[in-house]
Formats: sequence, C-alpha cells, structure tokens
Amino acid sequence: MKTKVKFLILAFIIISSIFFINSTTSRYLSEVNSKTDVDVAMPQIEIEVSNVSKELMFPGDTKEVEFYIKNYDNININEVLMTYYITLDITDSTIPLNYKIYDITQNNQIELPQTAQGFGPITLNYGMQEDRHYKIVFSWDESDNSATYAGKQFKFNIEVNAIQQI
Amino acid sequence: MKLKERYKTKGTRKVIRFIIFYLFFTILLIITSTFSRYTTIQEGQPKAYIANWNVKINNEDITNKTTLSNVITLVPDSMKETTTDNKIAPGKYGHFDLIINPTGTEVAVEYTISLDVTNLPQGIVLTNYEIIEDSIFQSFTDTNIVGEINLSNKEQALSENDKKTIRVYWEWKEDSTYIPTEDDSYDISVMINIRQKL
Repeated sequence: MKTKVKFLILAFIIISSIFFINSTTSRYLSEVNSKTDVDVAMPQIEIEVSNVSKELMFPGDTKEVEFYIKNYDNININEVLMTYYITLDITDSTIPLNYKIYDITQNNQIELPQTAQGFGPITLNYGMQEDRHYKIVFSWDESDNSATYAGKQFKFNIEVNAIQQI
Repeated sequence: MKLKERYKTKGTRKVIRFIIFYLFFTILLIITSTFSRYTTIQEGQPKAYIANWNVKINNEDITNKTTLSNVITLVPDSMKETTTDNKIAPGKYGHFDLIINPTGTEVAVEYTISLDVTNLPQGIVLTNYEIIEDSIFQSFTDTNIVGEINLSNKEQALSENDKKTIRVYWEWKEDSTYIPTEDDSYDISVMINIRQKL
C-alpha cells in the first residue's frame, strides 16, 4: 500500500511537471530533405571486326584482318577522354605468325608502335562519334615450314585496354 | 490500524509535507493567473505578438515544405576538359553551396545539415566545408555541419546580412578503381534542420 501511494504521488508530480515544462521547450522548427541524382561520365568503346577470310594459310603467306574501334554504340557516346592500347590474345602461339597493326583511317597506312602495354597509345575522344579503322597484317616466315603446323587453327581475340585521361 | 498510526513514521510525514507544499505552490500559480486582474477597466484591443519565422534555402522558402528539389549540384570545378559537360569521373573535384537565408526571422536560429553520401561511386569523398560569412574552413569528421545564426540586435529581425553560405567541397580520388556499368545509379541527399535557438 505504501509503495502504491508513493507511485501515485510520483506519477502526479511527473504529469504536472510536464504541463509546465512543455510550454517552455516548444519552438520553431523547419526540416527539409533534398535528393539529387549524380551524373557519372560513362566510357564507351566498341570493336567491330570486318573482312575475316577463312582461306588456308601456308608458310610465306600474309593475311589481313580489318577492324574498327568506335567510341559509340546505337545509344551511347563515350563521355570520358581515354587512352587505349590494342593487344591480340592468341589462342595458339605455337603457330609462327608475326603481326603488325596499322591505322588506315585516313586512307593511308600508319604502323602503330608496339609497347609493353600493347599497340598504341591512341586517344579515344568523347562527346562526338569517332571511328578508327585498323588493319592487322599476319605474316608467316617462309623458312619456318615444319609439318607439325599442318591442320592447326589460328584463333585470336582483339583486346582494347583503355585508361581514362585525367 | 488507525489512520493516525499508519502515518506516524518520519519518512511518511516528510512525503506528506512535500506533497502539501507542491500542491500549494501549483494552486498558487493557477490562482494568480486566473484571479489577478486590473482594477480599472480600459478599452482597447489586446495584442499577442508572435515572432516571425521565415527561412529560405538556396532562395526556396522552406516554411511549409518538407522536400526541396536539386539543392545540391555535383558539377566539377576542374577547368581541364576531359569529360562531357556536367559529368563527373575519377580525378574530378568541385563544390556546392547551401545558402541559409533567415531574413525576417525574429528569433536566433540553429541549423544542422546532414549529408548522405552512401550512394556515391567508390572514391568520392567530402573533403572540407566552409562557412563563407564566418571565414570558417573545416575538414569533415563526419557528414554533419552544425551552426547558428544569432540576433545582433534583439529589437530587430535577422536580415540578408545574417545569411550563411555553407560551401561543401568534394573530390573523386584519381587512384580509385572504378568500373562503371550502365545500370549504375547514384545520388546524394541532404537533410537540413533549422530550429529556433532557445
């Protein structure tokens, strides 16, 4: 009973105190939120291979493969200035083919320098469409004519390693 | 047990005395507010004066709003042109301003700005902020900015001269290894709480 009385008294004090305190802590308040989308520049590189012949190759032959590197697709255009290098990923390196890459965009033939990073560097522009036309020339040394090469298939992938210019 | 005996103990008496004092004090307060009155009758219109509350954020009145549109613009400051206009990429940096204008407010003001940068590409950081009018330049320890605008004269409301421009600096670190995808979607959000300073 004593505890009950004390509890009631305490409750009464708290409730009545709140009545007085509440009138002193109310104040003006404004709170707003805002959310903004962030536009990140997107890179865009496309490789389009053309003119791939499936004719057989023999020692002493050369073969050419042409391809394009574009900075756009059907929807997007590259938005970042980039530097890229071209490399070939050859599946079977036992076949003794040498190769060089030429830039033939301007109706002339400019050999691309070969560096540790690949053939290049080449600048990929942004904001407007750009096509670059290249040619790979494979050559087979005539003197390297072992019969072990017969029947083999030569496959390769064209890779473009692009890095943003800052 | 009789009532008198029940409440005999010292502790109980103390409690009773306290209750009586508290009740007396409370009743006194109520009585003085209800029974005190002028002895002479005067004609006139009694006025209740309420202080003005008028705050704008980047020229937008927030008094009756809970959301603002595009308060923040994450546009690079860098003069070097290496990306499409108004787009950000690693190596870029910039700033945005939040202008708190309490012109016409007749109370001192406190503000808290909370920035949410959790949905930004990896490598973007808020580096510093500056309160231009106060020549304060601080590094971010967390993503909150707290400040106040005081009344220089209690007889006058806050004016244009009391506005605060909070400039927030951001940077996308050059060495961040970020590989973008088409489905990426990023945003930055801010909550601005402005309240009367007591």
